[in-house]
Amino acid sequence: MTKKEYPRIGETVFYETLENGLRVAIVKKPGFRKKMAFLSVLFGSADVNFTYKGEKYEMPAGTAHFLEHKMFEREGGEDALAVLSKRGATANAFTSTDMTAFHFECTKLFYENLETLVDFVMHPAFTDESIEKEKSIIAQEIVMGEDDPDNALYYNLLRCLFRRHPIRAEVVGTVKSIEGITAEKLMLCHEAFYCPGNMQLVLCGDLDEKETIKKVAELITAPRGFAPARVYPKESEKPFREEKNAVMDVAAPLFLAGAKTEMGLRGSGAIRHELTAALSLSVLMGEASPLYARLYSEGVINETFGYDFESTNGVSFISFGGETDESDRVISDVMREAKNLAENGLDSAFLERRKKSVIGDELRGLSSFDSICYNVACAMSEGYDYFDLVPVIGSITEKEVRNFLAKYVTPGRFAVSTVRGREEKI
Amino acid sequence: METITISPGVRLTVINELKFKTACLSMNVLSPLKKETAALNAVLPYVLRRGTASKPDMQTIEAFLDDNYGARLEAFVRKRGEIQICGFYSDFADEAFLGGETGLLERMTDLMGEMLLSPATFGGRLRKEYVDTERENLIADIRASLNDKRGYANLSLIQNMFKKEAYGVPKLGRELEARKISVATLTRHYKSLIASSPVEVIYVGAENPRRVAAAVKSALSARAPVFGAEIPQTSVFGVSSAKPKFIREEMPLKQAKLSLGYRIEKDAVENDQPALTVMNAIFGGAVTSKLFREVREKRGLCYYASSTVDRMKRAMFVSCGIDTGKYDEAMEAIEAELRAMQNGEITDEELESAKSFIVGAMYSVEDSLPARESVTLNFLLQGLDIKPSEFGGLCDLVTKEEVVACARRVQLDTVFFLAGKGEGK
Repeated sequence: MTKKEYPRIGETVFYETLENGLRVAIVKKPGFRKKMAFLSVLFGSADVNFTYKGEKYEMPAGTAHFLEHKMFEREGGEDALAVLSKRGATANAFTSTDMTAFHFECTKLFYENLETLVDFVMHPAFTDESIEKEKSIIAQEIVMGEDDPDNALYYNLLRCLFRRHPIRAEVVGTVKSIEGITAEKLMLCHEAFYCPGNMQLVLCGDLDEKETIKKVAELITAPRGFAPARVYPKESEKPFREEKNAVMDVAAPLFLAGAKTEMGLRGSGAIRHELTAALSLSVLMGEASPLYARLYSEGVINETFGYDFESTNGVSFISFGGETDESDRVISDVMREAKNLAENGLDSAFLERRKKSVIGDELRGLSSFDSICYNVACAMSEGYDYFDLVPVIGSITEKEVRNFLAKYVTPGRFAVSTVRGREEKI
Repeated sequence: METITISPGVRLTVINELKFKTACLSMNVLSPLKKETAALNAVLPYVLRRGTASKPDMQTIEAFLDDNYGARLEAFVRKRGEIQICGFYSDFADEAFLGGETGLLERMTDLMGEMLLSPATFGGRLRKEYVDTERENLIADIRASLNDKRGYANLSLIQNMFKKEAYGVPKLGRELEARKISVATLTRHYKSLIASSPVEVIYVGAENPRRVAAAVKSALSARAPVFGAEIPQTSVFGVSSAKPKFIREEMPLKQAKLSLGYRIEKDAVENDQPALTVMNAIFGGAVTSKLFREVREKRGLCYYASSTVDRMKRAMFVSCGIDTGKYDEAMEAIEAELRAMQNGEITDEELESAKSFIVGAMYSVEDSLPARESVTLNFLLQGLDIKPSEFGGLCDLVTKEEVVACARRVQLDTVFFLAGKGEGK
C-alpha cells in the first residue's frame, strides 16, 4: 500500500493494487460520518465493438447502460438497491461513454453495504424474462431523453464533430437498438469487462486503511480477467458536418458549438491538456472575461451561457453555448476574441487571478464525496494523480494558453448544433 | 449551532464545522410570497449582483472573487412555504489551506453586505442597463420552465391547486408582472423591502461565532434597524369536501407527465412533522417506497414516480412520467397505494427502511456544506431548533400508528396531466 500526503490541500490517500489487478484508492476524511464507495468498470457505451478471446463482437447501442440496470437484480428477483436502501444507504449507478460506475454512501454498516455492492456487481442474476421487462423501463428513459432539448443539442453536436466514433450514439441507445439485447450478450459483456483487472474501487471517508484493504481483498477474489483492448475509429481534425438544426418545444433558441482538440493523450499529458483547456476557455469566455461581460450586458447571452471540455474514449473536444437569438454573432465574437488573445497576448494579472480561482474550485471539490470519488476514478483510468492538480494549474504558462486558443479555437474546426422552438418565425 | 441577534431584524446562525475545506455564508431577505411582488423579488438579487457602489460592474466583482481564491457569490430566489426569500449565497476557501492568507471571511461578508445595501446606482436609482437585462433574463427563465416538462407539470399543478392562495404564486413570479418591472418600480420595491424585511444570515464553517458575528455586524452596519420584523406565516387550509379537480393539457410529447397534489390536515394536538416525513418516505420519497416499488418496478407503469412533502404548507405532491394511454392505470395504482397506507397496510420492513433512509439522509446533510445551509434555513423557518441528525432521530421514533393516522389526514385535491398530443385517450 502506498501512502500519499498532500499537505497543501490537507488530504491523505492510500493506493493499492490487489494481486488480481483491482486498483483501490482510499481517501481519508476524518470528522465525516458519511462514507462512500465507488466501484467503476472500464466499460462504457462507446465499447460496442471489441475482440474477446479471439472473437469479434458488435453489441447493440445501449448495451453497457442496459447491463448497469440489470446488475441490480439479485437471485430470486431481489433488488440490490432495495437491500442497500433498507439499511439507510443511498445507492446509484451511471453509465458514461467510457465507464460504468456503481456507488453508495451511508452513515452506518459500511462494510455490509460494500459486501452487497461487490456481490451484485460481480454476480449477474438476470433472466431472459427480467431483461424483456427491463426493455420497457429503459424505453421510457430513452423516450424521456428524446423530449429533452439539451440532450438533442449535445448529441447533434457529437454527430457533427465525429464521423464514426461510437460516442455519437446516445449512452442509453435507442428503443430499436435495445430490442437486440439478450441475456447471452449481457453475460458475455459481464465476463469480458467486469473483471478486477478492468475495475477500480475508490473509497472515501473516515476509514481505517489496513482494515479496509483487508476487507476488499476478501470480498473481491475473482481472477484478473482479460478485458478487451479499446480500439476506436480514427477521426480527422475537422468536423464531419458543419451543422445540425432541430425543432422542439423550447422557449428560447439554444446553440452548442464545438471543436475537437487533442486525441489519444494519457497520463500527465492528458491532465495538462485538460487544465490548459479549462484555463484557456475561462480566460476567453468565462464569467470574469471581458467578452462575457460585453455579451451579457448587451443581452446577447444570459446565465445559461457556458463552456466545457470533455476527454473520453481517446478523443477530446471543447464546446460552448446557451440560449441566444444570435448564435452566429456569439460564435464569431468568440473566434475573433480567441484570435486577438492568441496574437496580442493575455493580461498576466488576469491569468494569475483565473489560476487562483481554479485552485479555489479544486478545494471546493474536496468537500464533496461524489466529486472526489468520480474524479479519482477518472484520474486512475487516465493514469494521472487527481490530487496533484493544484501545482499543475500553477505551472501552466501564458504561452500554452495562447497556443491552445490559436490552435483549437478557430472557425474551420467548429461545428454547430441548434434547437429552436416550433412556433418561432425563421 | 448558535443563533445571535446582530441588530433588530438581522439574525445570524452559526454552524461550526471544522471538517470542510470551504465555508459558506448566506444572507436571506424574507418577505411574504405575493403575486404583485414575486417577480420584483425574483429579479432584485440578480440586479444587485451586477454591481455595487465600490465594484460597479461584473468584471470588477469577478476579479475580486478570483483574487479571493475563486470565492463564489450567487444571487438566489427561494420559496419556502408562502415565504419568498431573495439574497446571496457565497462559499469560499478555508484560510487553513491558503498558506497564511487571512481576512477572506471579512472580505466576502463585506461584499455581500455592500451588494445588499449599496448597489451601483445612477441618479439615486438602480442602473437601467442592469434592470433591463435582468428583467429579460427573468422572463427567459420563466419561459424556460417549458423546456423541462416534469418541472412544468409540477408547476402547473401547484398554480392550479393553490389558485386562491399565495402558495400558488411561482417562485419567479409570472411573466405578466415581470414585464412591468422598471427602474422606478424596482428601486421603490428594493427600498421598502430592505426597510421592512427580516434578514437571516447563515454561516457554516470553521470560524468561531464571535468572528463571524463581528464580520456580519460590520458588513450590515449601514442598515437601519427593522423593529418588529417577523418571519412571514404560511397559511394552512384543511382538506375540503369538494371533489378533486382534474386538469389536462396536451403537448407533442413522447412521455406524458402526471402530477398529483394532496392536502394534509393538521393534527390538532401533536406536532406531526416527523410522522409526515416518514409517511412521505414510505409512500414515494425513497427507493424503498410504495410508489417506486409497486408502481414503477412491479407494474412497470412509469419511468419515475416519487412524492415530496411540503411540511410548511402541509401538502404532498406526486410526480411521474407515463405513457399517455396508461393514465387510468397509473391513477388507479397511485390511489391504491395511498389507500393501502390509510388502511394500515405498511409492513415493518417498509417502516424501518423509510426510517433508515431518513436517518441516513439527515446525517448526510451534516456532511455537505450547501445541504447544511439550506436545511438550517428550512428548520429556522419551521421553528425547529435542532440539528438535522436530531430531526432524523425524531423520525426514527415514529410508530406505524402515527404514520397511518397521518396518512388518513391526506386528501387528493388536484390532478394535472400533461398528455402527449394525439395519443392515448
